[in-house]
Amino acid sequence: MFTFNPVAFTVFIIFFLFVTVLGFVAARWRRGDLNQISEWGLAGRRFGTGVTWFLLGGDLYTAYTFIAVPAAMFGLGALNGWFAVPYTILVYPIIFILMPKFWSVCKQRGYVTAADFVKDRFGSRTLALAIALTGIIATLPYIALQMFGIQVSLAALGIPLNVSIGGFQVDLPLLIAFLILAAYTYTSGLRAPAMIAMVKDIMIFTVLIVILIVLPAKLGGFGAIFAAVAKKHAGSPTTFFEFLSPKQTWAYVTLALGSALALFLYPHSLTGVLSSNSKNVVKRNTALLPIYSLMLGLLALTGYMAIAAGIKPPVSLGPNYSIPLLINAEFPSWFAGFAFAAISIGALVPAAVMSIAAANLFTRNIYKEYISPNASERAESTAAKWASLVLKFGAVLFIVYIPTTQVINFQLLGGIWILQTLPAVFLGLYTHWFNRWALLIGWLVAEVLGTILFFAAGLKSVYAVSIGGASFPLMYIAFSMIILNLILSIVLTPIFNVIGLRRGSDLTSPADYDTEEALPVEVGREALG
Amino acid sequence: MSTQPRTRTERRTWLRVFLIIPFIVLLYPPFYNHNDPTFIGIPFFYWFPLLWVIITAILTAVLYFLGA
Repeated sequence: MFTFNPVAFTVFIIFFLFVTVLGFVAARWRRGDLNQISEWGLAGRRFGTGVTWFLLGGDLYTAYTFIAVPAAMFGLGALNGWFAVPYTILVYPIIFILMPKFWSVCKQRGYVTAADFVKDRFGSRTLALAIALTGIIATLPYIALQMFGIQVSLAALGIPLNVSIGGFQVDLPLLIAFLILAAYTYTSGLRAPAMIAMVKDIMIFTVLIVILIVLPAKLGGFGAIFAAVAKKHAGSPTTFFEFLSPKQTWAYVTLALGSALALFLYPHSLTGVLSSNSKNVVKRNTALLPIYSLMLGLLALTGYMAIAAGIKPPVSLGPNYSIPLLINAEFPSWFAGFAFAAISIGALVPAAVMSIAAANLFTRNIYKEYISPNASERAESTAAKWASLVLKFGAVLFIVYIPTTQVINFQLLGGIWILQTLPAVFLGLYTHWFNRWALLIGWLVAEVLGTILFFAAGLKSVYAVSIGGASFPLMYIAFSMIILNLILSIVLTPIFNVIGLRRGSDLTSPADYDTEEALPVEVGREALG
Repeated sequence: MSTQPRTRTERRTWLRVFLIIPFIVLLYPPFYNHNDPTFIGIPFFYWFPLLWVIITAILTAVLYFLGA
């Protein structure tokens, strides 16, 4: 399907090597003692508005996003692909309100993870563990899918994927990419993806702008593109949709809202937030990051352009290859190389941040909490560095040896799971009224039932629940589960308080949620390391 | 660590209620789930949310500067 393209490959390698160098150089950028977990894992909370814009943009809009959203548009149409636009619009008002509080309390009390906050807020180690485990498990498939993004780019360049080494089939290019990524993440921590994000985001925007200038003109304008889309719907009226069918409306709404609420519960999003140097940095970015949402919306439309261009991915590859095939078909080799480099580099940033965020959770909320409570700062950061490496390696193994559809399903489940941490993490920013055991029960029931419904729906995220005689419309499982979760948390709290399952003590104070901007870093500390 | 008097931001926090507008508009698909009016060949269902990316960003920026 793909022949090896030397021009594209050369361009790809040049950019890939460039960001590799940046990854290692980043250790010295805005120097800090990388033997402290707050420096390795949160870049010392130093990043200003610009760097945070690049980091969060590169972190939230991942390589998998660039492949999967147009693929969903290409294969399924309006519901599955386009909900991403209202989703990425509505995220920002939510974080405008919530993240300044979260940043403040974490800065004030030295928290590195959401579980750190929950433990002190509700006085519950168990609840904190639940939050930490949810975060780690929900992040794992997401890292794996970034590796998938690299795999797809490499395949589109015609690079032979499997090499036989000692009798084993080894995905050598991916392994090399992983080793490089693992090495500079280990040495530089969060500074590496922050620096690389600047390159990534510039590349992605460039690719998108070129695609938007060239392709619609080539394909006869948007009128012609959407005519092809309408034709596809006419040909497959039950599987592909240009507009939402009446049965899909509620699914669209709950997918958009549920995903918007969940995005900043993911550890990698919160790590991006906590690495900034002031509560206002994130607030400013809620008005600036939407540029990426516009980019994503326009990128989604390239899925439709692939339809109009007559792209037909073979069944063995599926719609995820529709955009790489489109790029190869419509653009010269050197641009294809640049575009695939952009996608691959676009995978490195979130893979790094996600593995750091999950490593932070493991180190602070499992290792330091249960395994080695007297660990020194250095031991803590070393544990985090190794955890991040193991997680990335696990992700590579996942994507190579487990069918991609299963990894995608795992990721969809992860989205359902992570939303269930909302009561403890988000509502906890406003009140500690909830009983810790009520929150735990609410979380547990929602996780278990959400998983069951996912399988009942045939490995899909939307399900039409029917209770007794009443049947509800098709709805995002995460959304129906968070409603259940909230109901349980609210109903059980007074009950548990009365029967003696006491609330934990709140170690935070109200002033913690509204700090001033961070004081400038002392000169002495900057000289370290 | 002392905090600034909160009177200025407390007065303006009510402005955040305007952030509900994008939710109402975007989470009611029947309002935009159709083809016309098109814009350079793009159906309404597709260009309308893209416009709201920009509107919501401007709204958020205004609220930020007003100290909400």
